[in-house]
Amino acid sequence: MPIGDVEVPVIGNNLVIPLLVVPHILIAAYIIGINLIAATSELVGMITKQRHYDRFARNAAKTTLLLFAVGSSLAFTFILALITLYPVLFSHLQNIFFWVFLAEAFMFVGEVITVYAWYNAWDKMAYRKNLHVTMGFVAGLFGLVQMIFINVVAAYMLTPSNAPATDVGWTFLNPTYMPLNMHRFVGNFSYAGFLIAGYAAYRYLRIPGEEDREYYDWLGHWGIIWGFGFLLIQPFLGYEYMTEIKAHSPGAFEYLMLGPKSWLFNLLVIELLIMFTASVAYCLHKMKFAVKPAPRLRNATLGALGLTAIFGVLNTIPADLYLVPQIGLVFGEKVDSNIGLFETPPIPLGAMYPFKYIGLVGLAFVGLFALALYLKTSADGFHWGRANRWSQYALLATAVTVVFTMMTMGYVRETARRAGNGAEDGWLIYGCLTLQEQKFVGEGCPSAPRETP
Amino acid sequence: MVDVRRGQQGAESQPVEEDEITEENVFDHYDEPQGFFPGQVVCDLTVSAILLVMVIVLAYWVPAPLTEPAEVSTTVYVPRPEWFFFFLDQWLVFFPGAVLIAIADVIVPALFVIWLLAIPWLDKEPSHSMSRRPYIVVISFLVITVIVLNMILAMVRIANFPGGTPPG
Repeated sequence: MPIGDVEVPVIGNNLVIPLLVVPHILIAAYIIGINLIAATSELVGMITKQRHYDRFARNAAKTTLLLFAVGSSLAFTFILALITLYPVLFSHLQNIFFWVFLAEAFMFVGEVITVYAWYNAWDKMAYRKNLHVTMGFVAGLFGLVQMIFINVVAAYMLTPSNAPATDVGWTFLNPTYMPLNMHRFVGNFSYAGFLIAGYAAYRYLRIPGEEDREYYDWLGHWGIIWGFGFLLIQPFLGYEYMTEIKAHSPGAFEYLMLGPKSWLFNLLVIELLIMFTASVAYCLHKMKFAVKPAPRLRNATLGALGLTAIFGVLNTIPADLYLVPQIGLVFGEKVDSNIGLFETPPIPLGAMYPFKYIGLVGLAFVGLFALALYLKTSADGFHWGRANRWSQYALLATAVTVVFTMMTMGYVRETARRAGNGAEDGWLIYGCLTLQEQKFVGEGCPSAPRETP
Repeated sequence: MVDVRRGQQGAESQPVEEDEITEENVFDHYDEPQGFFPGQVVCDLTVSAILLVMVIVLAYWVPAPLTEPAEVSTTVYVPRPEWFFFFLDQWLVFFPGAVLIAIADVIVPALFVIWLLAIPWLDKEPSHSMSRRPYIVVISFLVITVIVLNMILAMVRIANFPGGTPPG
């Protein structure tokens, strides 16, 4: 049987790739984020001489080691599946992005060597901490560069440049490459931060020892600073990413924002609402245990929590009641897919402009305000180990929600290429290579029209 | 009289004797206040003169070219700002429309300028050491990061306009 004609039983060909990629991305994003957070923590521990930073950094490095092989094996299996099931696509990508794939492979090697050396040399290099911290950052940078390389391919598949495929520079700098890099760079920190917070909450709720309670209470605080701090930037970067998709693959944009998959963004804003509200509520609770009580700051944070909820709920109001057509959740007319930005949809408060903008901008600025108050309070220290269990549930909620958010966003990006090629088909490379038959279209394959050989 | 500020050579938390700043020892106290006149004025004038000479030399040897006269009847021209305003142009993408545009072109720049003016009151640490000025270092780093990233985003966006990339 020729390669490419393989039919995977039961689940079908289309499900094989996401089943391998989703767990890979969840692990890979965690590794990139945690590696840089751990190296930063080790540096902070070295400067402040506080032991818990080093304890966390060392444990985080250990989880990196434990997950690295699993993540890599999933990536390898994914590539194998891609070559087998989509040989035309992979051959085309390999031609354009040979150097990217080669560099990517070397980044793997570099990361393996430095991460293992970094963890194993922890005690041996206890008196050469500068060098050891540098090693941690180098390991993190290898992972980061790896992501930057593979983003070239991911961005190109959705918004290929309007330039010949042989023009390496322009294929790299395709319209969504930079927004995707920034969105994922920030997202990795936020994702890893919330997972740290969730893990800390889980351990805090289960461990009775006083010293460990203090440590895990502090770890929840440390995780939420990273998770929530970086989440505040995401609405802007996500917006920028969608703007570029709108400009360069308008069919994909319409499919996501106004078409059959627009419910994904309703789901996203619900996830954002949970993460924002839970984070601000956690900050509010922790401020009760400040070494220097600051009632005015705490009252202001209480106000911020109210505003967060209002802005968050504003975002969740849909434009119409045609909610999830795929499962029959339809209670009204679908909004006109050609509706202008400034026109009123069936549910006026669900209009993109100005309400969603106000909701997203408001959420980010109020969140920034709440975080600033929290950091100001934390500068004088907290009485660790006294947080109640509800605050830990808030941390767990952020950790669970961030995993679903990652999956939602990954699905959004990949399903966007379903648009603009008929109901049953889609694109492997948008406007260029079809999904089902793997045929290059005669025209519109950016600027170098070609036929499938 | 004892001054608890740190000495130059990392005498951590050791009290040092305060001594008068003179022309001879001024460079031993580079991060401490000195008279505006004449020392600071002379420094500023020297640097300004060097920059002025550089501009004159560049203007003479590498003159700015005169481009074509403006074509008023074109319909394909995409207006874009000079490169040093790209980052501000990018803000307009984030805040479109009549309601929100004021945030991008009035409120955020105004807050930034107010913050710049307020720096002397917000950061009173006399030391030049970055580790002793975390507030100003972190905020400045974030500001520069935002400007650079927005500039890159705008450059890639403009380059991918029709006509921005080389013809195929």
